[in-house]
Amino acid sequence: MTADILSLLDPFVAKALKLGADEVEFFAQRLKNKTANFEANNLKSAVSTILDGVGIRVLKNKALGFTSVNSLKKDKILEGLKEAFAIAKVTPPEPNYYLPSKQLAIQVSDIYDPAIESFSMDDTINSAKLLLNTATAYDPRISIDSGLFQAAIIEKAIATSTGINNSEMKSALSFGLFGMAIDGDDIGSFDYEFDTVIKVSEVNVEKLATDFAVKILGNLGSKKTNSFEGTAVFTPDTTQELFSLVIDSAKATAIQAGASYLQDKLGEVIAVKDLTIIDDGTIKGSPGSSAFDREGVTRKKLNVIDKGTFTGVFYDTFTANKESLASTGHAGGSFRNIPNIVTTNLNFKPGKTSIDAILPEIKKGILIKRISASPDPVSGDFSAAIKGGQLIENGEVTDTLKEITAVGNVYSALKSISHVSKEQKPIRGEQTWFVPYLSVDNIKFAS
Amino acid sequence: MRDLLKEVIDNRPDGVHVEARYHQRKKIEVRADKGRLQRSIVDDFAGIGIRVLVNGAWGYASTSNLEKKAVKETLKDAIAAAKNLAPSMKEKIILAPIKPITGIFKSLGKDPLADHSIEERVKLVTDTDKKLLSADERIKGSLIFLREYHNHRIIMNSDGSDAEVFDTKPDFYVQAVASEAGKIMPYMDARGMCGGWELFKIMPPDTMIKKAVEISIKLLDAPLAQGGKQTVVMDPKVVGIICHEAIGHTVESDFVLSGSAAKGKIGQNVASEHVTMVDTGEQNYASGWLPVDDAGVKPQKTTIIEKGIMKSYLHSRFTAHHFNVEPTGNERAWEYDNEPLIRMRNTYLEPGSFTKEELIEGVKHGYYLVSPGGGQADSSAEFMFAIMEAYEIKKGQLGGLVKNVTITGNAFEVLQSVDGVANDWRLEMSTGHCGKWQPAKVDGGGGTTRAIALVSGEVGGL
Repeated sequence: MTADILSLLDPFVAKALKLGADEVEFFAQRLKNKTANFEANNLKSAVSTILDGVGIRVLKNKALGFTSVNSLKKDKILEGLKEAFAIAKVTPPEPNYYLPSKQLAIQVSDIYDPAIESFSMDDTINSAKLLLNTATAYDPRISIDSGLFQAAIIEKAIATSTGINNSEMKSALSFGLFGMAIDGDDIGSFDYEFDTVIKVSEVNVEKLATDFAVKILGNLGSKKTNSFEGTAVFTPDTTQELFSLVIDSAKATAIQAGASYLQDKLGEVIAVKDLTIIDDGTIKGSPGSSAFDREGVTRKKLNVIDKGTFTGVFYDTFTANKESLASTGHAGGSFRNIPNIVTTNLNFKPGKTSIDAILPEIKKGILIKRISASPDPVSGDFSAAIKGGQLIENGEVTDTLKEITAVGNVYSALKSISHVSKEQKPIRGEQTWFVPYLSVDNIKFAS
Repeated sequence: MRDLLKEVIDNRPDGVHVEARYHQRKKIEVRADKGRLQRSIVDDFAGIGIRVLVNGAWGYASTSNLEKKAVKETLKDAIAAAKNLAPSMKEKIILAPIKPITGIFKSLGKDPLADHSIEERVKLVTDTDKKLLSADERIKGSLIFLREYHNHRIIMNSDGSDAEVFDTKPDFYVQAVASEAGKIMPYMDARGMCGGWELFKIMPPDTMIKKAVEISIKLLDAPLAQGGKQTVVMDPKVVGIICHEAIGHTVESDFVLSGSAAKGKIGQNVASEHVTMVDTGEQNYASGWLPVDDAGVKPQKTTIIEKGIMKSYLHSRFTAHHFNVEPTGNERAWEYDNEPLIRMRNTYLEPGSFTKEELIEGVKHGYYLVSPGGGQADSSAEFMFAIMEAYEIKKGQLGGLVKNVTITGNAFEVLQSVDGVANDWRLEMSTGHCGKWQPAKVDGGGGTTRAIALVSGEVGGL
């Protein structure tokens, strides 16, 4: 199927050059989804979607024009190509605008499961029912606000005037729940749990539903506590939230725009020695993997933080050109926009201590299960409302807390990490994270 | 296009409720970052979405192929999906009756965006970027972003609704990043509306540059706020976000059915007598303008809270039937391939009789909160919002800028503490999107409002 899309794109490359383009890129996608949605503890709708489209980048005299059309029809693509030309004519030139050259092709295994082709709408609905029923049967206090089960086939193809000509198929089964526990007048803080897998045989909705139920039941019966100073233990979910800002700051777009804390810090120690983070877009069988990125560059490994030292910046082609470097293969996004920089599979190197051994060491602190914060992306300053936080006293996890906040700075916290757990949770999707528990000492919590 | 949709409605099988919707959205984005044109793009996204109700279950399918055969197949797919789902429904979907809505509705502004070229847009963005970067040597970074949605929707249903809507929604963002002695502070000013190029007359880019530059520089040396329970005087922008995020989501009736904090509160006192909160799609200059919802329902002006008493939730036809009330016209879909969900429109507090100055004068110590940043609200109505621009109030006088302010609290408790709403009503929350599985353009505001909330500031931390 992807070969059909590629053969559709190839003649347009020649046509664009004939029209006078210096360089051109056609990036096409076809998504086929079957989805069962639920709402308010009931199934809500069954949805069948086919979405096609092409994103067109034209470079003329180093000026860029981009359009997208949600169609694979030839007349629509031609219309889009002409509009991209018109845009390129009125945009200022940028010396670093040139497309990547021909790439060494690699194969990433186990990112497509042929079994998805026979996964029917009935299978989708039955999986959704099992997910919903497992969660609600776990405890009568569970209330599901919304959720879904989706089976998707994702095809992509790219053809450029610089010799890139590649295509790929992926399968993805995604499922998740959003809701809260309610016990009379006690409404627990909401939470969610989501997962994506490649293979039909990997789907385990019962586990996700049970993990979700345990998580939201823990939010009931919350109590106020006094302000204190102690240790913050971040669960893998909140570690991901904490580090999203750090990872965004390591992207070349933020650094080159002067909007990154990590500007001029390459090679500097920014965190404790126990912290190592590697991004690898080629991991077998992971939803975050693929053979090439949004502009056809081969995916590869990038050491982002190595034993506490900032070692890797994420680049796409244009940002890399600006510094006379090679793209790291991190261009992402759909056919509807120009590429932006994304992560693939972010892997935290596990620590040596189990979370079960970390908690007993803590005299007083909070196990943070969800944070509500809008940290400043440049300075890292934040004020976080802690949701579903659980008090840790003398090594024991005790009361669930409410109305408690922490104010601080994300980047300072990197140097105050006391433990990285050996357990990791895979938080899977198009951008996948493998994340541990982290503990950070000397945190002041305000109530 | 109208004929295609009509054929879907006319050829529906017996006993099947059908909603057929064409939506073309042309999105234009031009952005410059620190002296470089980062993007100049046009995204054309058009297609037909068909929602059917069969045996008490919704089925939905969509297509970008606008040929008769493909549209017929899409109807079949939607019906097949609903039939598959129907046996599993615990509560069958039944729709409240509606009066059909017909007509053509337009909000394209006084100076339509269609009359302006891509070249003009590129010049506007790059000129703004140049001016901002040269405004002060401490400005080290910038982001200038113009985004426009050009929408054309046709909405029909098997109850006789047949409406066509044209609107355009531009947003403009100006961010300055100030840096000095190792400190970096950004500030973003943003403005949006439903309308046209007159946005740049209402809020000239030069005014936005001046504000972004001045505040980002002042923030470099601004102190933290004093943490703790404080009297806060909230600008309409901040009032809008409280109305939307902290209260509005809890009264979306799908969330009420799941057990939100608003469940069972109709008729109860939930706020002070100064509080009357409304959700409506009627202001045609605001981003939440909605003359017809995506299920073909005429939107009502919905009073959520009247003088402190909760009066109504926000409904779809299904939840209206469930609660035995009239639909409020709150079902909205982002694009043609999204099924409609219950969403807000323009959500605000009605004006009071005070002036802003009177509200500030009465504060011994507190904060004047001008511009909200990101935030989140919980099922329990607890909320947390960052405030990007806030000033100390001392003995009834406005003081200096403070940084890194957030406000938290339980929205209903905060509304109970409201002791004054000013008469300076305006909607001013139009940029950006509300997120709930799919985005939506909304607006919000009110009169300047005084209340008590927990302010986070100088409490130590990480």
